[in-house]
Order: sequence, then structure tokens, then C-alpha cells
Amino acid sequence: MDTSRRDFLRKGVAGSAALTVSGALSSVGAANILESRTVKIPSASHFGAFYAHVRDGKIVDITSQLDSDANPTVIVKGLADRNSSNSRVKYPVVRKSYLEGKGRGDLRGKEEFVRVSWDTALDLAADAIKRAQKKGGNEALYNASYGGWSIPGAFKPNVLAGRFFNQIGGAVGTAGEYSNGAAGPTNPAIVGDMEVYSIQTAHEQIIANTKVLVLWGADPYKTQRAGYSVPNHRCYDAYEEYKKAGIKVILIDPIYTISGQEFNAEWIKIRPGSDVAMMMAMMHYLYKTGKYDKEFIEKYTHGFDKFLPYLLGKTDGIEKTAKWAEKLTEIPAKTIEYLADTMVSNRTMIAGNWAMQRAEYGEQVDWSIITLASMIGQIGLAGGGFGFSMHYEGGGDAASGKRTVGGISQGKGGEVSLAIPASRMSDLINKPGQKVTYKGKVITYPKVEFMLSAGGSPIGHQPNTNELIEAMRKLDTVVVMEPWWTPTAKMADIVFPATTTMERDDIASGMSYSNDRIYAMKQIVPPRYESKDDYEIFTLLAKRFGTEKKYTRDRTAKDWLEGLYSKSYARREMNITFEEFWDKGSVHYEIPDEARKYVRHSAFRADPVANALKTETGKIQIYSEQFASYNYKEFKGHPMWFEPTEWLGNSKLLKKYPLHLVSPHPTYRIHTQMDNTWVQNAHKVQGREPIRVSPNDAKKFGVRDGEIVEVYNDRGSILAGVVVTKTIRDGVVAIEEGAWYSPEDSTKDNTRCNSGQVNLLTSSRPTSQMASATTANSTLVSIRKAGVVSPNVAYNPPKIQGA
Amino acid sequence: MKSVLGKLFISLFMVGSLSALAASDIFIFQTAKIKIDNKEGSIFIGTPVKVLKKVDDKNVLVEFSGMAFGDKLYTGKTKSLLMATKKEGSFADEGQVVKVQAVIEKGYLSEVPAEIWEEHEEFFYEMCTQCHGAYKPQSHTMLEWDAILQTMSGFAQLYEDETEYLSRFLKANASNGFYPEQK
Repeated sequence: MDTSRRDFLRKGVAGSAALTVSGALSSVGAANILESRTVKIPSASHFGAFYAHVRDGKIVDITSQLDSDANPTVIVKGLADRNSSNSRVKYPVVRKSYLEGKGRGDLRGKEEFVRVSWDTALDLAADAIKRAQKKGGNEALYNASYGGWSIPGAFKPNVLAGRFFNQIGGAVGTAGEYSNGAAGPTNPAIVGDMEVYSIQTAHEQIIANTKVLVLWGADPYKTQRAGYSVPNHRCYDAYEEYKKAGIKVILIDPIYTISGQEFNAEWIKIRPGSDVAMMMAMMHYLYKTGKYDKEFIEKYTHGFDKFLPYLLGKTDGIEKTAKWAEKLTEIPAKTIEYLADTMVSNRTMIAGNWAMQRAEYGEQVDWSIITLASMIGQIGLAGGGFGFSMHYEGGGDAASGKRTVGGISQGKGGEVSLAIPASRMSDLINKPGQKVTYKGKVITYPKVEFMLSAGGSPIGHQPNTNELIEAMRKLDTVVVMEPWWTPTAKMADIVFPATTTMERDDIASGMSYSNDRIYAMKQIVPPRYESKDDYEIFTLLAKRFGTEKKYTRDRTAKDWLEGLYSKSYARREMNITFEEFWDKGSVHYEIPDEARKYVRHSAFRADPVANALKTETGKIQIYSEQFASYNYKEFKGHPMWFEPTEWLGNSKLLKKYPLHLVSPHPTYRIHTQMDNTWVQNAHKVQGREPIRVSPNDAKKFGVRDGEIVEVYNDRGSILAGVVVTKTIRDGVVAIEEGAWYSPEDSTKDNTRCNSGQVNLLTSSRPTSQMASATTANSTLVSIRKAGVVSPNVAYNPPKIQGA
Repeated sequence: MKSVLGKLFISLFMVGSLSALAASDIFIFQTAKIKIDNKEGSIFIGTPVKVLKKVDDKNVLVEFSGMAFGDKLYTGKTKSLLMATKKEGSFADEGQVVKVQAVIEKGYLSEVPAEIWEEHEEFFYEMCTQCHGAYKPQSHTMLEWDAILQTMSGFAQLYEDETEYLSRFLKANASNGFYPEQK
């Protein structure tokens, strides 16, 4: 396998050099290029497609592939730094007590590691899996490799992990996700589609028709910087056209986001967690004034009659008036009515977001927006209705309709295919035998002994980090495969050093909706230290279970890539050979003009019988008999307002924790990725994650711009660097998620994080019995002086004997 | 043969549910031609049937139930799964649940659902586990699969015929599909 990979690399590099010569002739003297020792190698990332400039085996620069990425972000520049970072896992290592056979899971994260050979590490991992299987069957194995965000290519570590486990009888996995844990499982029954990942009304239709764009929490300018696939950042061109078209933008958000600033939006400074109350009040107003679209409700929806008594207060004695909502939202009743008037009297697109549903009772958010949009009556009209993915993967981009490339299959699972709702990770470990509800079903947690994480960092994405750390210390074995010493790797017993995408070949697609390109992700530099590709690591592990052949099917990495490419439109219809594609580095697909006319739900609107929604009644389910039949306490048959436990309306809790903490997506990372690069210097404050505080709150708490403070609640405490700004409303603070955890005193439990990892403060409380999803945005905290602080060592490797 | 077929009939009666489907223990191995009341029709892969009697060495008489929509027979009102079609005439009044008898070559019958769906299953896991772990078909209802595929067929970049192929497998094996007793 290695030999062919190296040959493949050489061919790729030669091809790239040839391309550089021919491509540069028009602007630069060919002689200079030929004399250059710098080779330009194309590759791609979650932050965009790029060229690595390599001289004498070292990456000397990263530049964007401008023909693909017209609006590059600075983040790609950090990729070289990350590759050569001292935070790389250099050798296979094992935690000292574990290697000595003492176990001592309680010392995870506190103890030094010992460098071992690959064989030793692999044997120990295989033994641990077999030991767990013997003890509790495959339900004792937990594959915590969640989501495919670590790389945009085909060799996704989570997929490779799933393939390995499936072939040895299965493992406990993850149902749903953190991103859309509440709306994702709920929306299909309401509107016959997940919506959160669905293709959106084309930008061209928004530009031509939309008069009012409501960014209800959505921050496309920020979140479009990174993509699940390879972003082309063309949406920013479209947003410029939004501006020119004179679309009025209303931002309903506790933060005046980058998008709000770019669009010069009218800012509605809503109280976090109260959005559903405002939606209810808007609907109440539209009903009472008779301004709602009765015909749409009758023709296209089901169950308005069952929802109406609730709206009018006939079922619970609370009429959902604008005055009622004023107290909950801190938005004046008149403003709520004005918003409803504005939206119903203009062609309005409501761009929902995902953060709102990452809160207690998050299932209600999209359902309420859909119901509100139904009363406005513009669903299916060009530029009207709602969209829950306008901030993601270039939402609004027209689709090429042409197949790019897929990935490797995990294959059919073994006997065990138990999946726990995402964000129930700590409960899974802590509560064997206990039950969790999910979409009308009941799941019993098994007794987990073994946990494996590849290409992800649970210590990053799981709420209530201290709870997870405590849980992980109860396991028999924790194995991590990573290129870097992430906080999760530091909590492992066995750590395998994985190559980065810059050290191996892969293939990726451009944009999940437009599908406009295929990219070669070429190996740029040799693997550092003793790292191996995830594919090879799992193959070596599979060998210890006799499943090696099944795992690889005797295919090299190149074989897989060629196989995946062979199914693409580029190969089948454009007749571009793999070698031609690989030499060139990318293939571009044209977007048909017809695709620019796409209007979401227009077919349903045109003929709701022939194009019935995939719901119980074929219509929008304002009421769902299915949901009602679950008999859940806080999730009923129609959308409702439920008061969260942690929010600014809880006067009792406020005495202790007077600030609402939100944890938005990061501006300069994808979650935890890139936190170990110089790019973070663009925003960190004294090396800590920034906390945004309003001027009034800064005064109230006696904190200054640039000061390091301690942010705390009952679950934990972190250090953060103060940024005083008028772009956040009073009573709310924001810390972006994804900073690497750095325990101030790793010998102690529940120690302060001196890096600013926000999930030490968030709660693992589930949204409701329906989706049992994450509620990270329902968090109250307080701020105090930090006292003596120690350096942030989140990016340093742990102590390792023999290395 | 003709005299036998001439005696066949479509019996129409209302039944409360299609739970009788689960009671069948034999299934259509692949989409095949049938004779309904001596007229041509088709029965679709996976459909559960009850064998009533042998017609001749090659053919048997089977019975199955579904909801009529013109010349198509579905599992229910959401038209999630097509069970059979006929070339001429309709099965019954719109939305009526009917029992249908038909003659089919016995080679198209199988007692093992897993055998019927072997290729579909491989395609499902091939296409739908490249980003996330697979959900077993039994983890959703037919309607839920319909709704999920609205979104996910785009991400999996399935062509229309592939979506149809996958959709039939998932719905036939859904929690309320042809084999609800399957785990």
C-alpha cells in the first residue's frame, strides 16, 4: 500500500508542477518558474480550496484557488501552521498506568504517557476491544467518532471507524447530531422534509423578489466561511446583490452579528430563549387582526383549529398576546406587532438558524417558524416563506445537478446497531440500564467499557465537560486517533498518531447544494514523525480481528479514490479520466440556468395534492396526531411556548447567575479545528477565548476591555478575555465554542479551564423527551475577577516518557 | 388455464387496517407480471402475498391486500408503497381497501425478506454511510423515510431511479412496512 501511495504522490507532484508551468506562462516568465524550487500542489479543506507552495519538503505558503474560491478566508492560511504544529501527536503512546496494567482510569488526563511501538499500541487496543466484547458484547463498545467534519474528503475518520466496528459486530453509535439535534428529527413529520439540510430557494429568486429578509438568529456571513464540503464562498457575491436589491434585513438576535453589520440590519435585541414566545405573539396578532392568510392555512396546513385555542389562551388560560410576549422577550409589544405587519405585508423570507434549537425545548422553534410562515402565507412563493439552511453550505446556491464524488462506505452494521441521541454521551457512560426517550421510542443505555474517538473531540463538543471527564474516567479503555494532542487525546489511554490531509491523498466535493466541483486533495508533504493514515491504522486494527481483507477489499487508497471518481459526472459524462483530473487538481461543473429559478415548496403550492408533503396529511402539520400520541410532558401535538429552566426570565437563578451565556459557532475555526494555529491571534484576548460583554454589563461587573475574567456557574469555570462591545445586548454574554480545554490544575477535579472552553459551563440537559438533544444555549453564568492566572497550555503536548 | 383465470375475481370489502399484511409469510422476490381477472398487471418487489392454491406446474394463485387508487394498489392512503398495478380498469373506488387475487409464476416467490433485498441493502449501506452511521430501515416509518429522503437523496447525489430503488427498500423494511415484525 505504501509503495503505491508514494508512486501516486510523485505522479501527483509532477503533474502539479507541469500545471504550474503551463498555467503561469501568460503572466510570469516560464524560465523563472522552471528555475523555482517551489512546487505548487492543489488541495482542499473545509475552509476552501488552496495551493500549498512547497520548497525543500516544507510548506512555505498557502494561497487560495481563486478560480474556485473568489472570497477566501484567512483560515486556510493557518493550515500549514497546523500541519507543523508542536501539538502534533508524534508517536503511538499509552498512558503510564494503563501500560503497566494498573488501569487507573481515574488518572486519565492527569498522568503522563509512554512512547510505544505501533504493534504494542495496536495490540493493546485490540485486546481492550476483545475484553469489552467478552464482558458485555458489542454493546460494551462505544464508537464516539461522531460526524464527518474533521475532513471534507472520502477517508473520513468517523466513517473508517464505523466500517471497522461494523465488521466486528457493531458498536454503540450516535443518532441525530449536535448541530440540528432538535429540529432534525422533528421537522420531517411537520413539513415532510428535514428542511435544515434542504436545498434553499435560489439566491436569484431572493434577489428578484424578497423585500424583507428576517435573519432569525442566522449569521450567514460568519457560518459560510467554513463548509462540510469545500466551500467556494460565492454566496458572498450573492449577498452583495441582496444589498444592491435593497432588501430590508431584520436581525432578531441577542448579538448584532457580522451579518447584521454587513446588511445594515434593523436589530431586534431579543432575550435568548424567548423566540418562540415572540413567534406566538406575532401569530396571535395576525389572527386577531385578520391579517393572516386564511386560504393558505385552509388549503396547505392541518390542525390550525387545534392550535388556535392554545394561541388564544383557551387551553391554558394564557392568551399569547404581544403584551404577554413583551415581558418574556423584552421586545415592546408594538415592535412585535410591527414585525408581524412588516412580514405579512411584504414578500418576506424568514431565515431560521440552528442555534435557537440548541436550547431547552428547541423542538418548538422551527415548528413555530413554519406555523408563522404558514399564517403569513408566502411558503412556495418566490423569495417568501422560510429557510433553515440559508446560512449553511452556500444555501441559496443553484444546483449543478451533476454527481461529484462520495466517500467510503461503513457497510452494514453488525448485530449491535444501538445509537444514542447525540449529546447523551455522558449519560450513556454514567447511566447504564437507565432509559432515554427519542422520537417516541425508548432506548436503554448499555454498560459501555470501551470508547474510541477518531477525527473528533468530544471534550470539545459535548456540553458539560466536567461531567464528561468524570464519565470517561469510569471506562475500561479510551482510544483516540488524532493528528493533534486535542484535549480528548489527552484523556485517552492509547493514542494513535494520524496523518493530516496534507500528508495523504484524498478527494472531495465542492458545496453540498451546488455540487459545482470535484477537488483532488493531494498529499503535500510526507507524514510527520510516525503518523499513519486513519485508513491504515484501522486496517492494522482489523488485522487483529481477522477482518483486514473485508476492511480493505484489497484496495489501496488510490484504488478507493479512483473508484469513487469513476462514478462522477466528470468521468461518466465529461469523459475526464482520473489521471487528467488528478493532474489538473479539480473539475468544474456548470450550473444550468433553470436551477437558478428554484423556489422551495413551489411545487407543493402549485398542486398540494399531486405534490403532497410527506406528512401524515400531506399538508403542513400545525398539529400532528403522531406527536400528540407520544404523550410527552413538554412536547405536544402543536407548537407551544415552554419556559426554559436557564434563561433571563428565571429570577431565582438570576440572583446567582445573572448573565445568559450563548456559545455561537466560531469565527476563525470549525468547532475545535484550527484552535492550535496562529490564526487564533486574530481574536484571542491574552491567549484566551474572548467573551463579549455589553458596556453596561462591563460596568456592572467592573470588568475592562482586554481583561481576563473568570466565567462560572455550578458546572464549572473558565477564563476568558473581555471584549466590551455594543454589538451584544445587556444581560447576555457570548463565548464562541471550540476553544481547547486546558485544566488549570490537572491533578484536581472540576478545575478551572484557563483557555476558555465554553462547554465547561453549558448543560447536558436534554431539549425534551422528543429529541433529547443538546441545550448548550440555555446557560446562565456569572463573571468575577480571575485572580492569579496561569498560562494557557491547551496546545502543548502532555508529558511523554521516551519521546 | 383460461377457464381457471376466468373464475378469478377481485373481492371488494372494507377492512379497518392492513395489518393482515404481516400475517403473510411469502413475498414477491422481484417485480413480476401477474394476471388479475385474466388481465395483465404487475406486482412489485417485496409485496407480501398469501398463496391460495396451485394453478398449474408453473403458476400459483395468490392473494394480497392494498388500498386502491385507480389502476394502482398501495399500502395505504399516503401511497408510500406501490404494491400492484393493472393495465386495464381500476382496482376499486379511490381509497378503498381491497383484497386482490392474481396468478403469478411461483419462481417469483420467496419466504426470506433478507434474500429479496440483498442488493438493495448493499446499495443502501454503500450510499448512506459515507458521512454518518446508518439507521436500520426498521428505525423509521415509511412516511419518515419518505421525508428523510427528500433531504438526503440530494446529499447522497442519487439519480431519480436510484432514489426510487432505495426508497422502496427502506419503506418495505420500515417499522410499518411489509415486515413490521422484523427487528
